[in-house]
Amino acid sequence: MQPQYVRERLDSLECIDLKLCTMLKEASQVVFTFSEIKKGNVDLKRQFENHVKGFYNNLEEATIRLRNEIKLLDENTGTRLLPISVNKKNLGQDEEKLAEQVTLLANVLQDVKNEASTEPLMKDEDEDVLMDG
Amino acid sequence: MGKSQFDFEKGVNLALDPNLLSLPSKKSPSSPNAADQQKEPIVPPATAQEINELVSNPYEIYGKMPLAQLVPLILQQKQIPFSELSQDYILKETSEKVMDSNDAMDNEPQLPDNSKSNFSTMDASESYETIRSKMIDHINVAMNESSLALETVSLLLSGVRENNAKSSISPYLKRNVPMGSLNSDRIPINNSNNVKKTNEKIKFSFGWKLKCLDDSKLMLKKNVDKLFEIVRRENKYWQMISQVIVNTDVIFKLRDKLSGERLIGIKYGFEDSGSNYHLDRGIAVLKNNTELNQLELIPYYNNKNFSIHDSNIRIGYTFIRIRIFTKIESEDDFILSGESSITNNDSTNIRDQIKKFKDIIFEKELMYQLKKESSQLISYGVKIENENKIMIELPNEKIEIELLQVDDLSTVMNEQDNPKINDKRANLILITLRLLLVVIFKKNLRRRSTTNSISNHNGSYSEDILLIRPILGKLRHQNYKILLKKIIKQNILDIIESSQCQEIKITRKPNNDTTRTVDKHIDKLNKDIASFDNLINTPVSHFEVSLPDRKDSFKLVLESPNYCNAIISVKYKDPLNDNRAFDAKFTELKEVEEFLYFIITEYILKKETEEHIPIKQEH
Repeated sequence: MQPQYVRERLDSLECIDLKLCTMLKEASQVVFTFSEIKKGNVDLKRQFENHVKGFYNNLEEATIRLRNEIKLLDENTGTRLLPISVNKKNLGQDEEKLAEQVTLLANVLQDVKNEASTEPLMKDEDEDVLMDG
Repeated sequence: MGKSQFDFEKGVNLALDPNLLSLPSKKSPSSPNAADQQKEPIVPPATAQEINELVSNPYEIYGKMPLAQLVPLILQQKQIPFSELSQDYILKETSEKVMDSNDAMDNEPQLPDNSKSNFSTMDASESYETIRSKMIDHINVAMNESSLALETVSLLLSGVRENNAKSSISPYLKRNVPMGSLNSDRIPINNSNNVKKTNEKIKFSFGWKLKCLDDSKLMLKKNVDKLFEIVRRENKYWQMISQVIVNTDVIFKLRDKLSGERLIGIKYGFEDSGSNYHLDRGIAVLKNNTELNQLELIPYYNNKNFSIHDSNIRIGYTFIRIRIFTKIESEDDFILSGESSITNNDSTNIRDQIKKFKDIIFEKELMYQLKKESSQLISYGVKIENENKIMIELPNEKIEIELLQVDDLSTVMNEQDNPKINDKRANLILITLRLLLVVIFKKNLRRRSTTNSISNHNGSYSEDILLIRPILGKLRHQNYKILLKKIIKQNILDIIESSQCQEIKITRKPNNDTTRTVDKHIDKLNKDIASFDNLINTPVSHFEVSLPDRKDSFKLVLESPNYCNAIISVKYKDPLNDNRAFDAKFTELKEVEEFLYFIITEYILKKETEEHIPIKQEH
């Protein structure tokens, strides 16, 4: 799960996408009402106006939001983001595996103790590992 | 009659058909058409002409004709070749004509036609002249006009291309008019009809424009729908990604080789965590399944024919199973006495799938390393049965290490129904093997970060693979120990009374190579690796056999320097005699037995009866 901040950014970017799409939708409405008006349907003039307004509003909003995102991107470069692209190494998987296996081992040994059965295999050493791990 | 007379008096007697005049002079007179037509009508007028010779001068008619035209005409009229046209012939003919002239005049009925034609021929000859002169005039005018036009064009041209103009302009104009002094421009013709036509055009195109508007509206609408759909999908994808991916994950951009699709890859291999396994790089692709609207994790192989759209990529279950078979003494056969447990980690959750992929690649590498190590252990009963199976043979049992790759777990799970006595051991062995592989990773990491050269880490460290050997070594060591104890009991404890055998616990000092390094990460690695020392170090057992009565003692050390072998060193020191000391090393238990027997019988038992000069013995 990514931190809240990253998800906020993703949502915001989606919002910009949607704005741009809506803008295009308004454009299609503008063209439609315009053609209707030209056909003589003068009543649609008001709608035409509204759609043109909507188009510009969306454009404006998308621009503002995008600028804001770019600003945030610039601000975060150096703190959240690295200014250069680095080849990230997949470190720590050994630790992960170690911890996982030690847990497994603990479970098995716990069972062994509970049953109080003597195992012929000498696993004393592993218990040391358990302490260290 | 009078009519004909009038004709004669007129003295205009054209002997030739006027059609003949149109004949080109160059043409041979014997042109078939002309000859046939004129054969008949020519003769009578000819006679008439001869008659009129005296009256009118034929030269008036023909004199202006150039000789080149006249001669062929005459020849045609006479129907003779040019060679026969001599003065004699003409004289003879004229005299004949004069004589016949009267007879000819009698042939009146034939003449009117001829005389009529004579009229027209005369007119034609006149009109010919006028036409000719007119034509010449016209030609002159045309030539004049054309040269004037040429001059105009040349002068126009001289403004832009003076050299081209100079080649065609006349010297007169060149002298009197400066070059480039004429110019031209196009003046549009103002037609009042045009406005009307344009208006009609506008009306016509008005419909087209409306249609265009409607079309573009439809196109926009369609694309808007498409874009909304894409945005929705992308948003869903990124939401899922943001939910699934954590900051420690290594994700990067990829491109599908076949479809060119952009993808997000995730690295799950252990390469960066110390693994040297190159058979599988451990990369998967996070693919958006648009139909199910969920993420899919697909292993990505970097070869040419691989496509993530391959439907036959199956992610089965890959895990290592350890089985222990115990020998039944009576039957000389082995039965399955223990099996490592299988955890079913099947899940559609991406996080769990990533975990599963990690497990799979880890198990694969474990098997790979086990096989590498096993290849050197054949003399200690470790056999590679097939690509995925290793068998460790011990005197009383067999341990089978197998990499299972199955599509369906249930079949394997069903086999493990009831718990067996050695299940725990099998699990412990498996866990230990995994821990040891992690230790190998850590050692690799330490080597990489300390030597700074990654280039030489391939293959040559197979002696560093310590997976089976620590376990097998412990088992074998334990067996050696039992045998050694038995030997001690038989040879010392049973013989000498109140003697005691004691195993001495040796706390081994930690490896001294833990020199403080500057890097805390390397320190941590050192510490981590050191915590496994007990497991990894070669087993050693110390025994002390004390003989209470005599205050002397045996010290026996059982070592396994390569984990699987046994080296027994025996030390004996006689406290009464400093010279009498033994320090011998054996690799065979049989020899140890003989040696102990020798010391006991030769020195300890005999000493009780008599003094004996010892012989220092060294092996």
